[in-house]
Amino acid sequence: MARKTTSGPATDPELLILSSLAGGPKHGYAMMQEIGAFAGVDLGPGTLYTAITRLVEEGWIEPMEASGRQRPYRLTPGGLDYLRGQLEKMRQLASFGLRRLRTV
Amino acid sequence: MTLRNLLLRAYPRSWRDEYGEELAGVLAQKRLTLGVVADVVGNGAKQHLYRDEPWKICGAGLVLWNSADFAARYLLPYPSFLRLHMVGFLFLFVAGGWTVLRKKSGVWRSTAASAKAALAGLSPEVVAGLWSFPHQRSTPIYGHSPYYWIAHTLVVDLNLSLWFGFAGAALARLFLRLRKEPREA
Repeated sequence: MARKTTSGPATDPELLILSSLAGGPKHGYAMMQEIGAFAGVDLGPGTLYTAITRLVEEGWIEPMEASGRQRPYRLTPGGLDYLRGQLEKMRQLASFGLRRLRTV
Repeated sequence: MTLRNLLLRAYPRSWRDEYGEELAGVLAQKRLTLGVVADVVGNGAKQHLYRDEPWKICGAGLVLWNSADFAARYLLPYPSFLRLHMVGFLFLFVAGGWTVLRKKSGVWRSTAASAKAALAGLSPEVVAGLWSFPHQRSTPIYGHSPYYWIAHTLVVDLNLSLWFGFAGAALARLFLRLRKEPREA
């Protein structure tokens, strides 16, 4: 249950997590902080870990060695491809929409 | 037990073994607002739906349903609630069908799974019967004797439950078969 300040694909928890991890491995709390800063989305802890569970099961991210209570995650090559594909689709949609807007 | 530890209990044990420690770490750094509590509890329920055996989920639903039914009939005039009692059997229909769809198991195995849900789900009714035993008074439901009530629950209700579970499993199996078979041109 993400409390979204905006709506649309740019608030999808899984894409937000993958985008955050594209900058390097992070643990859950650090992801929440960064996502809040770059996307303005306040992900709830339950939503974050539901998305992390799914991403791990899909093989798009993987856990690293834990330090204390925190366990960092990193992108896998499959996750990188998936993120690239999704962002490319969003880019195409955005440029199509923007082209249309110019003719209005 | 703190509220944070209690919140972790909203998740299935298998999930907690994997991610519980981390989530506890994140919760320790977050202020517990109503939104955060709702978020954790809601996502915990979601994990139960993904991970738990269908018969456990349906059995728990049936326990809640039968307990509510029991309480309502105790408080409300009996005939107004009678029809809703039958709705409980739908939990067993769902248990049978869901087991087939999730585990791709056969009809008999899925019916057996729904029977487990029925045994769990009918427990409030058996308890109601046992509760009325000591004084040989009528059960608050229907006004029957405890012997009749327990026998009715274990013979009629359980029997009906097996049929509902079987129907759900058979329909789900048929659905899987129709979906698999290539369509004739």
